[in-house]
Amino acid sequence: MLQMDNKTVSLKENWKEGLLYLFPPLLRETLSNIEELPIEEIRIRTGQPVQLCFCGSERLLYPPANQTLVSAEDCAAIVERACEHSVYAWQEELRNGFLTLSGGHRVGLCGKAVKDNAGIRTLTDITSLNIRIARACPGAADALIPKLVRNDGSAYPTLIISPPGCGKTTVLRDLIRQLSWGLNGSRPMRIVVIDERMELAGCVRGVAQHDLGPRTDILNGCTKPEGIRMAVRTLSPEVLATDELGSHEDALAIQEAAFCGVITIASAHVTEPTLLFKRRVLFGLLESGALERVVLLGRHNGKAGHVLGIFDGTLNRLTDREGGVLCFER
Amino acid sequence: MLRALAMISVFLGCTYWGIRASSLLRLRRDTLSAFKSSVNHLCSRMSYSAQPLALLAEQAKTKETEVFWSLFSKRLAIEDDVSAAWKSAMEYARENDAGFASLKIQELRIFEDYAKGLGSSDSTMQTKNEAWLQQRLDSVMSEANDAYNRKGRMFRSIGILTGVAAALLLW
Repeated sequence: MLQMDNKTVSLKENWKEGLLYLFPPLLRETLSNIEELPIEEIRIRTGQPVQLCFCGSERLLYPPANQTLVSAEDCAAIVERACEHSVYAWQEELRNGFLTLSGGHRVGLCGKAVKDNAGIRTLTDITSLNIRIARACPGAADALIPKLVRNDGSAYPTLIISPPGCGKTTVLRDLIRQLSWGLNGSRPMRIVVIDERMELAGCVRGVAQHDLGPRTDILNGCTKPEGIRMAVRTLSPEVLATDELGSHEDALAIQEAAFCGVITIASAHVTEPTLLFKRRVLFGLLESGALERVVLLGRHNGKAGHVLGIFDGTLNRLTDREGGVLCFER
Repeated sequence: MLRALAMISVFLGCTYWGIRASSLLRLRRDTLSAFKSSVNHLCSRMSYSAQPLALLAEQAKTKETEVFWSLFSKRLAIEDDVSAAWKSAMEYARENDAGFASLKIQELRIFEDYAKGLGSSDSTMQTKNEAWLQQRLDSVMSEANDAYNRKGRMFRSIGILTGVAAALLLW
């Protein structure tokens, strides 16, 4: 366990134990000697040096002279191993362009799209992979809960916004977990997670790789409008949680759920609150009261996971402007 | 007395040789048939279940093919690719099971070609891979059946007759 600033960053599993088996022998040996922590991503491209992304920095791994670190066959073999030698069983994931591995690690894929009448059927000839290493950050939502919970312990409908890569999903995940357990002044709530991109729970064969709490149900791989309607009809949620809101249909479904008294907690790619005025879909939810809190996350000194502000439904700031609060540190 | 014992020993030896030669042909035929059936079972489950190959391989085993599929299933977790796991399991099966030991080199090559594509593509391609294997196995099976029906009987007969003739010569 690594402890920083009273926030515990737990390494859910040593990433080397969970991922080294994927790589070809030369790359496996090279990566096993990497000691810098923490690696966020390993980016592999055919015939190119391997790119290691750390928190706020990166490094390129070059092969020894006259050798190729990663060939096209190596990329195909990595995918095959990631699929447990069962590519036929991962067609839906390949169609969506990513695989979720045991431990919650995600492998994003780039290659040749094979299409049929319904759209992209699968990806073949994989030429690059982005392996994003999962880390659990229990306590990431500690700084937020006091402002996001009412006196009776129930949560305000909340939207978490930030540019990409600033920790929205990590914070959302921990917020779900804490509300499910009823921690930090909240009361335990029944939560349904609409995990369209299978990123929040990171389910592998029906088993969630991230802890979302004991009162959380997960609708995996389901579109948000369908999932929200199914959940409201059959699962009697108190809270609906979803990632990356954006479309008109998503907003409509959330609005309907709000009319039924269901609280929504979601995230969206927005760089600052004033831009919400331009995102009619999201602004409409604020106007109607379907969302009552906005949390702005960002980077500070290159580090993700900083709360830059918490706002109410009319975008009045509820927290101090200066400093910001670090939710977690990778 | 000694002569009688020698006659009986020669007769039994020749008969045993004939029956053994016949049973090897029968074993080859039965092993091919069982393997064909278990591959069919594996591919059927592949097409409708999203279970990993290691689990499907374990479920595909029959009494005659268990020695292979059990090890193949375990080796998938250790080896870097399916072909390596297949080869390792087949070598073990040939060392420990007479049925697999009776398979010819060309038959092993057919299985190795099949293993190169096993699990590495979508279910449509897996079905095509299996259909290609079944087609090749059909001709091999036909030859194995024919060999057992003709040669099997011949070897048993030769064994018994040779035994009788040798016993009579000794007498």
